[in-house]
Amino acid sequence: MKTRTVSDSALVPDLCREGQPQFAVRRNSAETLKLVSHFDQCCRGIYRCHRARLKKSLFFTLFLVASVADAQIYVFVGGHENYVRNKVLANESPLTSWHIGGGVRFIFSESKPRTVFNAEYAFVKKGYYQTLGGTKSSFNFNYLTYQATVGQQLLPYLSVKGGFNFAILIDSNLKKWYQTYRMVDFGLVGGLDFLENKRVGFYTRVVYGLIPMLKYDNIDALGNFNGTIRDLRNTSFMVGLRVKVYEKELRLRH
Amino acid sequence: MKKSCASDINTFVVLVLLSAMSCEPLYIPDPIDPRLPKYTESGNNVAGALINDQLWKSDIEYGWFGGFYEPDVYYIVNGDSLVIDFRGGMGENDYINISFALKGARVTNLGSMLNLAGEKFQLGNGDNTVSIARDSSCNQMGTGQVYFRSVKYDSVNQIITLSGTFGFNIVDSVCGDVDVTYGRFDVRIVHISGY
Repeated sequence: MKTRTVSDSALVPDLCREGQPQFAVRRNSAETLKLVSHFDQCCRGIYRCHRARLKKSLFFTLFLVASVADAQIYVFVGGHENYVRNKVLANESPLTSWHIGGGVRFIFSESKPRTVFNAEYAFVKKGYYQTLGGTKSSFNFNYLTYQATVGQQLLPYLSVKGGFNFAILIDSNLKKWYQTYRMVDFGLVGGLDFLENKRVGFYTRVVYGLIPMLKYDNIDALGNFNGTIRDLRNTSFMVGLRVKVYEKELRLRH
Repeated sequence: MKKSCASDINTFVVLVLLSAMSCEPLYIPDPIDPRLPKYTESGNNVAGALINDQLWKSDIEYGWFGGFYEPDVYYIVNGDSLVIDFRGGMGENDYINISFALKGARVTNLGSMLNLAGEKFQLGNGDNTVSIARDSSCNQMGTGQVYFRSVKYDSVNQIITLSGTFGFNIVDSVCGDVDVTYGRFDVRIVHISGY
């Protein structure tokens, strides 16, 4: 196994500072764990770590799903319209985009077969447009999301769901976006599922972000600094198609 | 002889490329008004403002590269006055310079520009002035302020990173009123002159 020198490891904090931890890990994945250890140390407390941590949690969830046989697994794809609730932007308009992901569905207990738990991971493109002075600018933000919801079957073809949405901002079309926008988003999610017991079904979701994604200086027209702006909260209206890839009706072990 | 000439040309090309690269602006859009550059303190080599709600910016497209006009900075009479002249434009062939003349800035060399850190100068009060020059017929002076919020000095490479904001207005019945708002700059300065 190739080992790295002290001078090489000293490069890692620079990579972290530049917001390229993935690059740092990928480039050195075949090399010693010592470097990864340096990476963890330098990233502690830095937002860049979230992507690496999310990857770990994804593997953990896959392991969990694999170890629990009583689950339904599905994939989904859909479109959504994203708004940003705010008090600072002028002439902004919603962005219509797409999302894709997969999830796992558990039934709580045999005594409550109509109550289910869903854990979903998705890649979601959010953002908005802003038109000022005749110029239309687009702000795109790519998130990896984790939704944990509890659902109740109301009718044979209709279920209602509610829970929370946790998201990590992984990319944007803006330069140095990680210096302006918060890496973590958290919100509430609710929606309806149609034909949930069929192989192919439909869903609607509303994701209501609670955490402001923007943190920026409040500068007035003359150039005075008046504190910090914490604003811009995501709201998404989503619809999509869900396909079961593991169709057997299963139960959680007790 | 031919070899020497080619070598000179190569050296010249390399210097031009290095010069273009060193002055390349990093234009990060403001999250509130994306027409403007975001306020930063990183030496991004950008300056921008709204002049009568139209964008003025210091990075100008020219040739193949585009580039940035580093502001002219010079002091007068042993630091009694300091002049900072931002060059920029509002579009193709519409060049506008914004010039600040500041009294008592105590700047006599690059390093002493640190004296500007945190200073807010009121403009149009007799001591400090601001003017914009669109062409020879209109050189207008206004009232407002310029704020040097952050000044960093790299003594090894002899570079000053100057970051701040400005805003002012001009009342002019001949050339027209001008409102300059949301001005900001984040520039690297490597040269200062004295007169």
